[in-house]
Amino acid sequence: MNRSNPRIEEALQSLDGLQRAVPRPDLFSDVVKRLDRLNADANVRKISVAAVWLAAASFALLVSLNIGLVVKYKVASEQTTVASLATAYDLAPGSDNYLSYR
Amino acid sequence: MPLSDGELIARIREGSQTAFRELYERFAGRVYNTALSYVQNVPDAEEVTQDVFVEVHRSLHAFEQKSSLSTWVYRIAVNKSLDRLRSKARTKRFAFVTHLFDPESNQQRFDQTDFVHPGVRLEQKETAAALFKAIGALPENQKTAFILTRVEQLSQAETASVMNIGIKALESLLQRAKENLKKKLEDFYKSGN
Repeated sequence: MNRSNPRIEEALQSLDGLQRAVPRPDLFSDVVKRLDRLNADANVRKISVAAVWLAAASFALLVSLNIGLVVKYKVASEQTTVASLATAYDLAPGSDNYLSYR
Repeated sequence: MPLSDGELIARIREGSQTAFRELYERFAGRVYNTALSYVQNVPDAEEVTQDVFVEVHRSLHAFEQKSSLSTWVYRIAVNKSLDRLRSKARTKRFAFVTHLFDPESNQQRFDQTDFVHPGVRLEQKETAAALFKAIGALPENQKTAFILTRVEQLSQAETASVMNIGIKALESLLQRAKENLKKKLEDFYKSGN
């Protein structure tokens, strides 16, 4: 098939002398608005990450404080129990039984 | 005296809005026309143009200047245009499970009306519309090769640089593009247009 259709050739040549289309004048301001929006989103993301870390750090501090208090209470509680038992059985330092035990 | 590409890039990297505006003024027409040839409608071409300059602004710090600024900008324009076409093709494929027709106007939503390039001479509008329809049906590489050389009037060397291929490969693509365009135009005219 080697026929040359003049309409096809005409179509292929229709781009000759093609004038460049011009974008609307305010398109640049749309580009700037989009960049500003993207920068604002990026800042929000940065703040969110910082907020998450702050929250995590606060939570960790709270938990460790609580653990510390619980441990301290438990130790103090055990000491009180030991002291009460020692008194009850007359085994507190200074008592006769204490001295004889030693 | 206009700034050289290197000076322009340096100033934009320093944060100069004026320099970025100048870059925009230098390339907006070319980017817009390239996009228009791909997407074949003004709203999408404007969207793609914005996509391109946003990308240019965000990626300029990483541009190593191994190619010219023009080549780099064209490369982004081609990629963003093709991204837009692929996105539309995906939307169109998905449309068959939603509504292909707009329920209010009963018009087909994704109907591709004949594209008339604003820069075409009046007496050639009809034939140019047929050609652009045929260009739209080309495979991506052939489409890019044809648009950059015939519509954008880039040299073969610059087109090959934009596409990251050799001159011989480009010539082969152009040859195949032309053959395909002729076939499509033949079918178009045979169907009574």
